Amino acid sequence: MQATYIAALVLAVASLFAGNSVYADTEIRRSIAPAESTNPLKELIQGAEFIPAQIRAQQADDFDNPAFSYVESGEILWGTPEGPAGKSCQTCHGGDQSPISIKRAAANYPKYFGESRQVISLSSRINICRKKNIGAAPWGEDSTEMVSLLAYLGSLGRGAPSAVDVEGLNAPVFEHGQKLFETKLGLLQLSCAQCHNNNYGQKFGGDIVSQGHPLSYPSFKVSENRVITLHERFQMCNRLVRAEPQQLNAPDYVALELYLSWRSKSLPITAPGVRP
Amino acid sequence: MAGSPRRIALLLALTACGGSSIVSATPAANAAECKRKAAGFYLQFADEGGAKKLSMSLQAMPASLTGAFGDPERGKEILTNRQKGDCLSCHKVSALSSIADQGGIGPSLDGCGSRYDDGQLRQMIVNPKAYFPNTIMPSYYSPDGASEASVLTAPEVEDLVSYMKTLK
Repeated sequence: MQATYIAALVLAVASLFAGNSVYADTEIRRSIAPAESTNPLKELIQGAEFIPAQIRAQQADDFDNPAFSYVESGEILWGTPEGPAGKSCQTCHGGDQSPISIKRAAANYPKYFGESRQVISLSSRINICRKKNIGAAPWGEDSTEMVSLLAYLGSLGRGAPSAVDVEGLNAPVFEHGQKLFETKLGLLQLSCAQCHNNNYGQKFGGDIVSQGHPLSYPSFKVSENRVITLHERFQMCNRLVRAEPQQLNAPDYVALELYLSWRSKSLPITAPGVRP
Repeated sequence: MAGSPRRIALLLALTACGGSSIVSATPAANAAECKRKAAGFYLQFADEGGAKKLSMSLQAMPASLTGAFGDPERGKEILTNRQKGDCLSCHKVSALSSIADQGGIGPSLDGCGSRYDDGQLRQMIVNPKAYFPNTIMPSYYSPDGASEASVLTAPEVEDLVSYMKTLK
């Protein structure tokens, strides 16, 4: 009897430490086949498969996810009237039971926008709408309002894959993004492809290299203790290889976002994410 | 006796390198390139690791970049400092096991002080592609550019080499 009690106690104590073994090199990661045969990746693995179990659990639980408060703020902003006519996004687009296109907004961007005659990101589209249809001032790219609305729209798209179009007028920007992904950059002369196509799953700089999919952004970055957008993550990656970062929403970043979205098909959107 | 015919063939091949037609920057580089290839070709039969060892020694950087020895204590700081060498992002060093989350992209640096000599370690830091053409490892020193175009300065490279020599 005593032996079983001792064994149970030992097991209980041991399980306290079980969560620390997060970087097992032989972890099996769930993958799917890419949608396109031209995808340089032969298996697609979600970002969540590369992060510690504790953080993965945080992302999976909306109550625990530090980025989820941004989704709630975004929903409030969605319905907040602004401008001379006191309109809100909801006035034209309805609530989140609204037409499918808003649910899929996050999945459809970046895309070519006729009036601007260029491929634009979702944040640009939001600001165009604010100016033209509401008559309100644009939001800064990394402002709390913008990040909140991106988090809200991203969360509406959860579970479905990116739906970006890379043909026609989007093609030149897509090809530029692909080239950027393969270009060696910075003092360390490293390209995105070298790490994220060829070395994912390896331990690097205290993390495990992921495949670099954009699907969990905006994401709560634990090391920064704040929610960051995809372009802010690009800036961090640039600094990591000791290259000069670009402005948020720079054409190169929009092109890269388009390419990464295509490359992630058909993994599901998981925004807002939590990352180490 | 067993290796003798091979050794003769090797010597013959090396001497034939004088009249090589390999196009390179200088006649000396021509000859060196040719010797490297000839030696490699023969040595891979005589000695499994021989070709690799020879190409490594031929491309070493035996001369100190600063003309002086480095300081291994400073070298340790450069190796661990994320703003400098940041070597632990990709490599493991058991001697520094108190530092967590060491990387796995590159091989462990344990024993590199015994496996390689100063010249080889220096070459690996300055231009790892000389030994491993397909490596993802960046070049950490660039002699031509100004110091901002080089990750490490010459004294820092020497300090790092001195520290790595202690990793036996």
